Amino acid sequence: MWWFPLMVACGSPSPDVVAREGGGGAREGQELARVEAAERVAWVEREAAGSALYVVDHRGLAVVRTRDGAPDRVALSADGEQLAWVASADGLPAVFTAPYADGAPVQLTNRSVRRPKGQPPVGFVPPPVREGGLSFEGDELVWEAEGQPWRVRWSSP
Amino acid sequence: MVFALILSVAWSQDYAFPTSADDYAHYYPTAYKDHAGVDWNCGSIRYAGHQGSDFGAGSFYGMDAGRDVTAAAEGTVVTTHDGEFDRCTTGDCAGGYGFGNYVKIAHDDGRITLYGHLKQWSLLVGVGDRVSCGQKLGEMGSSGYSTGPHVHFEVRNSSEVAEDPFDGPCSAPPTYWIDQGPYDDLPGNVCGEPPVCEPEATLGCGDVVVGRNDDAGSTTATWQYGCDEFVYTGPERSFTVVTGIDEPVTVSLTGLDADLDLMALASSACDGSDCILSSSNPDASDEQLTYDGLAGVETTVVVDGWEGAVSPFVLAVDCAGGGDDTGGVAPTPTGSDTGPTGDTGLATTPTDPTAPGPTGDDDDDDDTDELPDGERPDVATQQLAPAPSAGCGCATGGDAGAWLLGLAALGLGRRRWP
Repeated sequence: MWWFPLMVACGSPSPDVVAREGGGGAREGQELARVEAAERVAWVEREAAGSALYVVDHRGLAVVRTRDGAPDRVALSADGEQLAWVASADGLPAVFTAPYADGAPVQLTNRSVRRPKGQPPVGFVPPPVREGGLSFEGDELVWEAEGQPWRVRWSSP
Repeated sequence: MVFALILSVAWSQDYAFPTSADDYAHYYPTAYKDHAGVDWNCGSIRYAGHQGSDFGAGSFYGMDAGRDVTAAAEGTVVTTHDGEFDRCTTGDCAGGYGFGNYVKIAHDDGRITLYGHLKQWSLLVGVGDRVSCGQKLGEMGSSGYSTGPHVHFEVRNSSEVAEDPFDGPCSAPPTYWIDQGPYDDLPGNVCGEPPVCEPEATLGCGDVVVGRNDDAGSTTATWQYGCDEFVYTGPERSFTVVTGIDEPVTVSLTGLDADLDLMALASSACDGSDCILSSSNPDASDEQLTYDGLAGVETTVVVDGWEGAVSPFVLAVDCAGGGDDTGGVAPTPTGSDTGPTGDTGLATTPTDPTAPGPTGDDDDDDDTDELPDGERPDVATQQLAPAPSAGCGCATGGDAGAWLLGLAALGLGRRRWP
């Protein structure tokens, strides 16, 4: 099984930084997110002009699920068969899901949000703030944002 | 290759500091791009791996008041991302590759600028929008990998490789800013063309100017002259030097009590693109440079204060070839001439070219003119006069034009890069 050392977020203040506002973005090659379940590992890696979601199973085969929309905040279902992540859709963060094995990603949130420029959009569902904030609970995806819990059904009834 | 370089320089777009005039005074640099442990000026205002330049503007108070983030140059919006939590203090909030809410602009010269950590729902532009320099994109926030409100300004080449817009001893030139400004301060936020030197007079062989670099006629428009890695701040004074024949021209700067430097430029473009050579000795040391003058070709000579230094000076132009002095035009008088110890600078007429005077003696028989030791040229009159035109005066020194300006020195310390 592959094992990737966790990397420190580059925006974290290093010891030689004076106490001033700071922070940048992820560097190329930096791991943005990682999750494991049922002997599968999913991680997001920063690339030159974006990021990509990779999945590897016990056979050691890495599969690139998506490069669209700067994926991050990834989750795996307990059985490792379902993936979820946050990516940018039309400039807004949205929660996506897809089966590990196959299938096109499905956008679960913010699909038809009306977004006047410079104003909060109507019907916007905020994403989890941090990595690890998104998780599967049965047939729902759950997270907290803006001080309240959010639950979205990911499976078809 | 040379052609490609010239082309790229010709097509490059320089940047204005990315905020509005109203909010400009609120901003300050908090972290520059990291160059293996140092920032562009070999200082420590950076942190490991930082690829952009961070500018704060009053923390959350400033963020809540609204601090504009504007386009640094004209271009087309290629990416926007909005909707991420914007009050991050831990440096680990997700979204936008760590930039949180951000805007990315592709410029016509192929470079890309990115504006990161913006306030949630402050974005005013969308993908495909054409934006002009200074156009508001959004507001400063603290989204993404941020420890407090600031804007992360990042420049990338067309291959998305981050570049440092600042030019300094630890960052390769050229600068990408229209006006880079001093270290640990802000670049200028005025859109437009780079500043140009403003020569106030034309000097010929044997001419002497006595004055101060902060006299009337001085500017603070320039910061870098391209000959070396030093960053100059002004105030500076600029003069055009012309010779009548092809001959070496020596320009000397003496009588200093603070750190002034001397540059010769092939044009009046003070953007670092046309420097011929410079003399940048430390502290109040004399400066001197010699270049090959071409008949009738103008050279801009700049007397610049290092990190704000101001000082009296004596600027002398000597020509080794004994060619014709094409003549200079005396600086325009702007106030009363109180002589060498007066309080305001003022151009004056040349001294009597036939009289032995303090401005044209060739003390060391090197065919150049020197002022007598310990002396400065007399003040003549307050009136403008045509420049001396008879002969170079290199051997006799008799036709040297002396323009005296008022003085009083305010000496500032100097810092030199190791």
